[in-house]
Amino acid sequence: MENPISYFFMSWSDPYLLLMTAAGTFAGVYVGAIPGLSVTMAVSILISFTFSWDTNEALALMVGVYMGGVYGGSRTAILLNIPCAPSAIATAIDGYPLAKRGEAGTAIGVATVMSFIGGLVGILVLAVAAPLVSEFALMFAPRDYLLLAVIGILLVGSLSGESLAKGVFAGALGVIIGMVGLDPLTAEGRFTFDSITMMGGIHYVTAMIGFFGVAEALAQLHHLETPAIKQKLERITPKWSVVKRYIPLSIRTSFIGVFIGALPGTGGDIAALMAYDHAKRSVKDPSRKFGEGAMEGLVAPESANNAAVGGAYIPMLTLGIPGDAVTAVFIGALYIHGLNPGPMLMIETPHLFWFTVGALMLANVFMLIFGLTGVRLFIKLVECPRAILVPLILILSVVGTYAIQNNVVDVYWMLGFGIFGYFLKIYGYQVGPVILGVILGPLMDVSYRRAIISTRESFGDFMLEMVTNPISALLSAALVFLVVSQTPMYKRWTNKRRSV
Amino acid sequence: MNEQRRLRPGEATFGYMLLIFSLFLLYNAFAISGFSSLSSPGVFPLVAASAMVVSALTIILKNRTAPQGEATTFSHRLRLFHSQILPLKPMVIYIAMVIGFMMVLEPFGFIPSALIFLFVSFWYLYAKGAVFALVLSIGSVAIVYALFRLVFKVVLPEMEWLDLEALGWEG
Amino acid sequence: MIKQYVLGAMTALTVVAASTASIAAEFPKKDLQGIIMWGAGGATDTVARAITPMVEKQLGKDVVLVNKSGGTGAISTAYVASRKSDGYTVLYGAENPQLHKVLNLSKIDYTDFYPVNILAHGIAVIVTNNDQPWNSLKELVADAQKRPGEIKMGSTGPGGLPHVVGSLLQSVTDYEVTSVPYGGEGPGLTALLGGHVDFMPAGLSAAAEHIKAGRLKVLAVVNDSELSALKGVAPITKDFPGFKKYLPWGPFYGVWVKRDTPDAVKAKLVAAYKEGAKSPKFIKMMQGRGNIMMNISGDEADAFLKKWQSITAWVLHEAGATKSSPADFGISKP
Repeated sequence: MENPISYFFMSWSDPYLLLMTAAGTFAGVYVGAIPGLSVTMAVSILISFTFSWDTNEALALMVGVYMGGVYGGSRTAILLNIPCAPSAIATAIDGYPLAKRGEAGTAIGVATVMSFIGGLVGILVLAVAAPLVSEFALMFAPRDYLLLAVIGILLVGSLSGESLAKGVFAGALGVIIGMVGLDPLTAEGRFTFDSITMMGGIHYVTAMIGFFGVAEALAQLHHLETPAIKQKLERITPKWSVVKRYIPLSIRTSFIGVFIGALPGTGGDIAALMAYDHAKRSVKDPSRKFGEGAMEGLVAPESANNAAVGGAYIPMLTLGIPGDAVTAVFIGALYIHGLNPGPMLMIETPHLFWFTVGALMLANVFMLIFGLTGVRLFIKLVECPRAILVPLILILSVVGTYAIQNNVVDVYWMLGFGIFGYFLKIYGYQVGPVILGVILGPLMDVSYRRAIISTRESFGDFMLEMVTNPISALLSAALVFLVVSQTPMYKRWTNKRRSV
Repeated sequence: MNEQRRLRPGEATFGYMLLIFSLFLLYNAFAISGFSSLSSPGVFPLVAASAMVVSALTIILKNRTAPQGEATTFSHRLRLFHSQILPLKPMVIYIAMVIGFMMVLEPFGFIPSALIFLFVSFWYLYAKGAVFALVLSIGSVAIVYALFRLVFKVVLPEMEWLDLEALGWEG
Repeated sequence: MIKQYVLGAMTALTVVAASTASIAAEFPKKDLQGIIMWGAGGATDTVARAITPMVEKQLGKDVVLVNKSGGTGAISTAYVASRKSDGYTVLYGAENPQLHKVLNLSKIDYTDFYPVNILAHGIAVIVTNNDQPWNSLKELVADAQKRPGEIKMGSTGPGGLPHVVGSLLQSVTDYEVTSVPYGGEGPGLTALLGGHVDFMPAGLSAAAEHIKAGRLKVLAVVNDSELSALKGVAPITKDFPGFKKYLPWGPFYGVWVKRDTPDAVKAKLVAAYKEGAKSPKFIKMMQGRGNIMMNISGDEADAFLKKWQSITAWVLHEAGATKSSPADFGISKP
């Protein structure tokens, strides 16, 4: 049992481990699809639950939950416009319009296959290039995180809907929501009004459930009499020709996903948003307009967020540094099982690495299986009359929000966001940029301040480093290009060139 | 983009409300640390709140030049707002019900408040009779409770006003 | 009629009396709730999730764990303080609340709680990237004195371990560095590995694996003697003997209930955690992370908490890092 291959296939050949991985993935798919139940939470609970188990069995179960959970969020994002996992936020943008057209079945099918491809790319990069990628990820300085976040926030432009001003307003509001609470760097209160309950800040899932789930549920009250949309269900598994068409985009966005996932400060949520942005810029003739049910808008984030799973394991398994919140919990689990996650992990216990890679691959396969089955039943639930669906969504939103940090104040926030979000929606403001702001705002804030503190408050040095450091220079160039390419002047120029 | 839609009832007023809200946030952002340094905790809130103020102003200006709604008098506008945006039935009543549910959530505990909320919701919105609503609400609460409390060990608000154990009831 | 009434009232009274007397005998009758003041995956979370299964065996009931992070623990202390004093809500915490008063974060600290068990305390080390020229803390300090403010120290915000150790050292010898705050020890050490900060005081548990792998070098151990786990690394008192008065100092992890919980319930919890903390698996895990087991409770733990608070709060105050004077809260000078 010395070679990596036997460790890789350990979870495949041992029936008990196989069962554990399958059970974990199955549970994960449904955990991901229920508002407020997060993968982080499920894995934390499993730590105590599997305390006395053999390490491999515990890991197999948890790996399954992780893989399945990241995917599961796409289901409710598509069917109900509630991205239950933060990484599914970008999926809702084009997924929900598809469901409104009665194409939820196709959408879920494509999302599943693309998640599988994304997962596959993530695992392959993990298996082949983990040490290399993690060393590269370490080189990212605070200013580089700032640049990444700014590139991400440019997406506001394409999520704005009818008016850019409305998009900017929503995005900036999101940034403010993300700032509420104690400043992580100085413990200074921001918008806390000296209240203890405000100090904890507003969890972004609270904002997400409110602005998406509750606002949508309230808007549905206008249509109580209209019968639910009949979903076409003849075909869930997409045709090979369909899959083939999206493979190049899926692979490109998977690489974005792996890398963003591998960066210690960013996870699947940001990866999915960046991938969506990439799709929107690079796909010239999408199947429909983006935001109105473009398949490309579904393919990109779904590939990226599952690729980010493999990515998040890269710094964790090679250096003991978590790539996201879930891998941080995994590190805790390894400690409890008497292992020492760190740079020595791959030297002292190389089998753990290959076992994890194998279990991830297995979980990815199970995700494909469970993702393509049981969809009909799930869709049927959505077809029940709105008068039944709306109260159920509200109850789940309440319980789900409460479950995030067991705090009833979060529930009040969530409802407030829901009512506010309802008005925003009605008056033509998009809620997508709000969530974008909530997720990227804090990252921009702390990265900018860390960068400027590092240069001892010298703005000149700060700008200089942006162009002299190779990584920063590359990112700055990308940022400038992305901004310039949106200007009318550039568009005119490329059009002219194309016509020549 | 050229064909701008007509303003919806209340849209212009909403723009002004957003401006007031943004100014309030800007004031609070300034109160955090002012312009004390480039890295102070107030920098980003100030930038974001300023962006909100500027975009709210832009929106107001655009609203002024956009095709106005059909209503001309204030009372007509109010009536349209009520019929299109915030109808009493079911919107206002239902939002009030949701708020009521949240108010009683902690003092009453999850099970009774969710049960009552769901029962009243189904009964009010679906109008298929009380028995149907009752069965459906009991079923839903049972599933939600089992999933969150028993499987995922989420501690839902409990009914502390009725201490069952003190009365000798063993759970 | 009256007789019946009186009889009824008497029965009711006996029931109430009996139930008060039997609280302890029956405790715990239902599952407990364990509030963890830091998020999932953090050091406090890991400790809580490792000790809890051991304690559940002793208590015969589950302890349902809930992460309530935010406000560096102030959200959790406020929540537990607002619950009934029946011992059914326990707080899993770290050292942070002891500074909440002077940092104006909360009016609640561990004087409002009873220490069921202080499980362990950590040891701080001062680590640096292999690329840096320094080989001892003395060299680092000398360099920092030569070019004030140019060297970057990774920190975790006010009241965090790097900040406190840095301030303690500054009160012994004068030097100036730029402190770059990160979201926690993990992210700070990651930045150190990437060369974005130059050195960092950190808990040994967070840095141990990187030290073992030779990716970080230790300049000093914040202790008054050499550690068996880090042979050959000088204790901080070797270069700076003045530091001795602050030692032992380090982050700690423990379990608390509200101060006014019935004594019998406290005793039951204390016994359960004392026994749980003796479990070899738990000890192995804690020591593997570079912690020193304490397993103390009651008055002994209170004395420890008081000393820790008095040293840390006053040093921070003298370094100008507090918002209120410790004297305002009756925290005596060390």
